[in-house]
Amino acid sequence: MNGHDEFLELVAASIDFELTDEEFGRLSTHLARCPDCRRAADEIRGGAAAIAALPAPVLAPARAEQILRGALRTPPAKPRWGLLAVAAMLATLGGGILFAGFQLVNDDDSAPSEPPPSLVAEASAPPSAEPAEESADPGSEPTDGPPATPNTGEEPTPTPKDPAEIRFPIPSTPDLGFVRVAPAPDDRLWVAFNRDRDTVLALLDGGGAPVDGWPAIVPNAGDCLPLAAPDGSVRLLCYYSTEPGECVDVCGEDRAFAFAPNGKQLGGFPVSFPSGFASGVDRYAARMVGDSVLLTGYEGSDDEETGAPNDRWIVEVRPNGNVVLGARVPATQQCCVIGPDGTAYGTSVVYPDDADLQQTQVTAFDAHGMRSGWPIDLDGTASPPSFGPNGQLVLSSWADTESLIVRRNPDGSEAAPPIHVPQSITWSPDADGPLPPLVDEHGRLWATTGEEILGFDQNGASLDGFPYDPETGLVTRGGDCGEQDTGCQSSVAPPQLAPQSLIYTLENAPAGKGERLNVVNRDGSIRSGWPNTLKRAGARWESVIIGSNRVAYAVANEPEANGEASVTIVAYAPNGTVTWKLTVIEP
Amino acid sequence: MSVSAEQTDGMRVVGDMERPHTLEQFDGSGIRQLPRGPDGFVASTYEAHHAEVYAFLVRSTRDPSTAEDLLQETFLRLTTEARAGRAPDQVRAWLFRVASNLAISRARRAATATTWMGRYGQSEHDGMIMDSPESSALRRERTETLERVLGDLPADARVALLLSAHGFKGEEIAETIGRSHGATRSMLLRARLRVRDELVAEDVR
Repeated sequence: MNGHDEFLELVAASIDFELTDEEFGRLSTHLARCPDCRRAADEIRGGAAAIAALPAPVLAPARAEQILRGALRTPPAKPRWGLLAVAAMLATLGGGILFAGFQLVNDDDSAPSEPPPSLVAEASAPPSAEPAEESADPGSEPTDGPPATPNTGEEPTPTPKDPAEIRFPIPSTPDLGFVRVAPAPDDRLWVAFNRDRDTVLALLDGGGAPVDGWPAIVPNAGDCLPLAAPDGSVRLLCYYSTEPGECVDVCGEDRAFAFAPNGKQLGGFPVSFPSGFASGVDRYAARMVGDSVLLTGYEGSDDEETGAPNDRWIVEVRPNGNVVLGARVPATQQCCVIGPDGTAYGTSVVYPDDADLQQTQVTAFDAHGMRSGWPIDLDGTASPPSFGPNGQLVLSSWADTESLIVRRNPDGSEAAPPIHVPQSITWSPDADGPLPPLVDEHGRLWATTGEEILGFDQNGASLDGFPYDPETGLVTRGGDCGEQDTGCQSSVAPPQLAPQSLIYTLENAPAGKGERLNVVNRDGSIRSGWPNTLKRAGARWESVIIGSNRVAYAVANEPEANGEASVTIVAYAPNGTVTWKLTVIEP
Repeated sequence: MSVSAEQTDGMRVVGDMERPHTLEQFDGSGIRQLPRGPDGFVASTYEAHHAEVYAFLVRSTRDPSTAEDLLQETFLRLTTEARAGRAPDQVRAWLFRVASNLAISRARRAATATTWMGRYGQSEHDGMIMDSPESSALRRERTETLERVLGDLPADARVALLLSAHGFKGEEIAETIGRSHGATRSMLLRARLRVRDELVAEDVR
């Protein structure tokens, strides 16, 4: 305190408030006599001026438009003149039409309006009456998608709507699984893929066109997994680079983002996970259970000397962004699959002293810790579980010379005797064990063995019409291993089970063509309208996911000139009709 | 900013609260002519003020992405009010009041949230945009110092300083952040002295 503070306070106050005459007089008199205070007064006023002169952050015009649209999208529905006003407003902002400023080209002259000509699915057979087995299915949906024009020729069926196209030039060829999709309510589809160092997220409507407010870029987020929430929003689990660019040590962390269908980020998001296990969060065990995302976290032991056990736990990301950690359990070797009730299952191979065979210990835990009745030991090397009726767990196992299908109740007890599978069940591409079986809501089971798909009823009897033996064989992908590498196995693209017990399979390319996507009926016959074969040699199906609306969303990767590739999402009705196509990545 | 007794939650209530005016009553009453209806009013208000409100929110929240969210929230509330026939009287002051309250409450809630993330747009301008072509190293340094000082202040003091920088007077600032005259005055002068100290210290360095 130098006795002059009172006057400096008056100076500061005078910037925002009117001083009383008395205060003003006192201050003026003092400043006239005190050069130090005059300088300090200038400094205080200079600070205020400097704040006012701070360069103004600028909102990108396209984003400004998005925000206005979001602000005007509240219920009740806006009257038509409101829309016109918005349109006029958008024009004044200089951003042009929707998505201008963003690298989305929709109906733009610079982009061809046709999908890539090579992406033509050819149907092997004209549609006919559906198999009697289908029509006899009690309670099944009466129709098989839109009554579209038969998809008979070499040319694609004209789609009901013009395919919208998002075109992103990206330098590299996408890897397997690069484009991830998640079917959402109301025939919508979430799509996520990498673009440079960022992730592009889009919500597409039932015609494959981006919903207003989409797509958006999530900066510095990569390898993202979208999960559709029942309320129409999305959770996006990503690896987030906290130090984009050069980085030699820990360069990021796992984060969960959440967006409403209107493009707005949900309150409380994004969240990062507590430090210490952020990089051990298993995004691919994640599952929406209710309106929360459940995934498993992992913490490695720092103590190599004592070999203290590593831990796993359930992590719950609630819709408000709260992250809740469950109780710790000892980690398993393979972890984890999360069941519909939020229980996580992991497996570890064990070698009991008193047994000739190796066994698999299957562990079940939820947010409260280990489930009672677990772990259980199964003979052989077991797969992760699939989930059947009444919470039943269904696993494949390979033991010595035969494969088994094992069924357990949620409490770990045996639900039904094991089914002995005559051939070896195919090894899974992403787990150290056989592919898990497919199981439908009636307890029917399918297992992939070599080139065939075997079918069983609940009692283990072979299903009529099976095994299904694809003409060209199931798609196998080789690892990136050289000829001398004997430890490298090729993997089979696992078939997918769809509503009404349809099986979608990715099958090898016929000579001179691309890979094919096929659908097998419950009676083992090939569904009419299928298979759909990519025309261009070398083109492949990356993945197929079937929504609860029975639309199959298949991701195709086609080679282009100059060694580049394009990626297209094709939405198929169950009768093989193309509902829409969207090229998300242009060469 | 004139303050009337009818002000409720930053909103001047036009007419009877129990029976809000319909759009037709508005258009015919002569009280307020909304250009092209409530949405048009929102759009034209947005055009006129979104840039300064956004700049204010970026400085207040220190995060462009949060600022975008709050900008949308501010205008969403304006839309709600306008559609209900309650267009604010002093719309600029109203916008800053809503934005201030959102920024302050967000800052309080977000003591936990250090992870606010940019969305689309940020890739074009990493973090804060310093759109200042002529900026010299000195000016950049001063800007950084100012941003640091502002960031170190409590959210309401920061908001108060920024409101002042946007031309609001002390009484209006007090009104906006919901504090008494005396409390606002002492908070502002403390903040101003601190800014001065930091800038002087920087000059010495």
